[in-house]
Amino acid sequence: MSAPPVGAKAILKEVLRTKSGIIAIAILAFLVCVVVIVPLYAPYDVVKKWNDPRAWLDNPRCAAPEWVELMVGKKLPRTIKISMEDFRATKYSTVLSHGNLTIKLIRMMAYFDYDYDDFPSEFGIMANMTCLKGMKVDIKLIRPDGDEILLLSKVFSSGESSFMLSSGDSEVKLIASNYVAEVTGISPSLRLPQVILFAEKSEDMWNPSKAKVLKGRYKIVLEATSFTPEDDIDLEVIIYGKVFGVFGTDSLRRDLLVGLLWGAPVALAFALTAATAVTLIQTFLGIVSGYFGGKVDEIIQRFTDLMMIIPVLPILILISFLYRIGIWLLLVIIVGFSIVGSTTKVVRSMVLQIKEEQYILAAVSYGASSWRIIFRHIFPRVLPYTFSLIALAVPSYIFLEAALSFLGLGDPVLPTWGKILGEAHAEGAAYYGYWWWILIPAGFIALTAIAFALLGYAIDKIVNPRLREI
Amino acid sequence: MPLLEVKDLYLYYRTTRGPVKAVDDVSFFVPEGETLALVGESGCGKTSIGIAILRVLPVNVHLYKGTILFEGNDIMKLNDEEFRRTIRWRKISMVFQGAMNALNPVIPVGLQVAEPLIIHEGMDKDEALKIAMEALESVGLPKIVARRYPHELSGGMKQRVVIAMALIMKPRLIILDEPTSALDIITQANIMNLLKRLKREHKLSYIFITHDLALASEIADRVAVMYAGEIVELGTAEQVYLSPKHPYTQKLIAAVPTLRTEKKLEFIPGEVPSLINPPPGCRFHPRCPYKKPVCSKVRPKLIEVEKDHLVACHLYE
Repeated sequence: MSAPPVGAKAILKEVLRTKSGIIAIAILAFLVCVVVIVPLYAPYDVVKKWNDPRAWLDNPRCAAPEWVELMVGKKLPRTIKISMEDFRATKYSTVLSHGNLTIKLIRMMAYFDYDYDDFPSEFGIMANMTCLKGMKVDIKLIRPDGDEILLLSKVFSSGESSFMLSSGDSEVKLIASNYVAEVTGISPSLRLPQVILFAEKSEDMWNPSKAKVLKGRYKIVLEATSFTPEDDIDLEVIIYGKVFGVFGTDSLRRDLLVGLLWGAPVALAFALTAATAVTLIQTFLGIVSGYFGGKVDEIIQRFTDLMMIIPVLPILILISFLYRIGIWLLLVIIVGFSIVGSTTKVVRSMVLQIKEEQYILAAVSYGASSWRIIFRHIFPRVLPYTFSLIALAVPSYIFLEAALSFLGLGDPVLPTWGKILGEAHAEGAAYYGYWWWILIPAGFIALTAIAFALLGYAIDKIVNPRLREI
Repeated sequence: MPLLEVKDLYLYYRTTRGPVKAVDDVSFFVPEGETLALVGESGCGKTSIGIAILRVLPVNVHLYKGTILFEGNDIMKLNDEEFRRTIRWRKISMVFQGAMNALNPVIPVGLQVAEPLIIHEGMDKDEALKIAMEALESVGLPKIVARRYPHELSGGMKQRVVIAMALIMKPRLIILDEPTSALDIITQANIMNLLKRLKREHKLSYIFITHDLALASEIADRVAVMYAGEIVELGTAEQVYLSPKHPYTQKLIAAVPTLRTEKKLEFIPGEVPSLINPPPGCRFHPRCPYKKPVCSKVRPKLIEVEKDHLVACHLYE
């Protein structure tokens, strides 16, 4: 039997000799890269806004990843945003005065080229205004085929400061349906403004599965009339696409890339800390139990039996449910519940063997204290085994955190993989076919778990030479 | 005044079948600069005497009493902490049986040799390592060995490392427990020469524990023959080897093969008695060819048959 490798460097070298070790190190290197890159791509400020819907208004809802295009072979719509600045650039206003009567006319216009093979998912129009004496606002959409559709024609009373119009509003739906009736003579059974307004004129222009996209340059024109020179209006238009970013978005328009990337450091930090702390504490108590023996051994072992039969998960669920704790407090509680466990038992049995070895007797005889023997002679002997236990324990803590988050009992602030999955479940992502919202976080969890499991097996093979022959 | 004097030493172990009388009323002394060889077959209590002197007892001790005078002081009266601080390795060190296992496989040997210095003298690692390297050189190993791990060394080298470790605190007495077992004959000879040289250079005293009479004759000034937890014969090497008095010693020497003379090898009938229930009276009597009725009733005491030659046998009373 060859001697066990000594030191972290030697162990790493040995790990890289096995296939599973190479795969594990490769995946871990990738995850470490992710952890390093995350703060550059999405600083912590972005994560703090994760639960603030206003921060994500510019993104489409439940959009698939952009690379889906490669699979469907169509050019899928991206989100087009025409900002207030774009409109302001074309703003033209005149003030007409005649005696007491003052009229201010505002007109602005913006255009966008729409040449995607699918309809937008939604659109929205937002306006901020200063309206002292009432204002009449007309907003028109001019299609590439020349048709003009009046989206809004409304008089606002004094004091109003903003309005919003979206493809989900019933007025807009009515306008769209009237437009179909005008073109085809029949009222459509489905009133989807985002389809009708962007479709080529035909019998089926209301039907999203049959209608053809009208490509070309669309214009949006705003005309406003008010009665004081101070009145003003600014407009913003967003045509939401159907694909977004690398990992798509969820139902709250959040960029899943941000959430999933931030999930990596959170999951790794959580699982690694939990696994390391739990394994080291259990190892330490196992050594103490095995080395000192007698009453100490009895107390630690019976306490271990007790803790091992206490079901931790239901207790964690109860605690999370009652106190709504953050992820780091959860970590402390998990470690607290796991200070003894199977590792304590395994390490104790190893120590019972090690403490009978000659060099321990020699150490006692040259006057080493018990603690010195424990830390200098016994701990290094069980350490390699501890490494493999840590690696093998990491997946279970990733799953534990994911399970709690899935149940809605995870960290209230930070995005984690389990939480994203839990929200996907709550929003019926599986039912609606938002596969990216389920498969990508699940894939991250599985990938990380596999990496640590493979690493654990690789280390296990090294520290447990009998396994090498298998 | 001898360097070490052991009087009426008992060490019994507790087992489920009753106490094991591993060391039963043993007395001997080691003068300064001399080597006492403790010989006897396996399980007769030789190693137990070693660990009793150094007080590295297992947990199942049933009885541990007697007087151990070291430089005239009764070290049995010291408490464990004083004993650890003042006696272990400073005055008495030990080379444990089986050098193969006497080194921690995950610590470089230099650091292991240096450990006693770090513990007792509070030296820092580098300083202690420097002295450890000198100690390694003094046992005939290159300095570079200090950085090696035990599995990188041969059996003989490991044995030298263990001896260096026993020497590091410059003790006055070293207990050598089968220091050459598991070594081939050439390495054995080298180690014996090393031990002799070290003894001369450092004015050491040895207690040399072995089952090998021939090996003991190499180094011993005086020899104590043990049988079933007792010393049955104690004398100078010449006395014991050339004119053994105790029947057991006589049989034992007759059982050792020699190269130069033709002789029929003898054996001792019967088997080693159990130390839990040793035979009453003389423990050797069931196997003794000169058995008398008194032998099974009265335990013989060590008596001086000639100067410095003690025998525990009813034949000489």
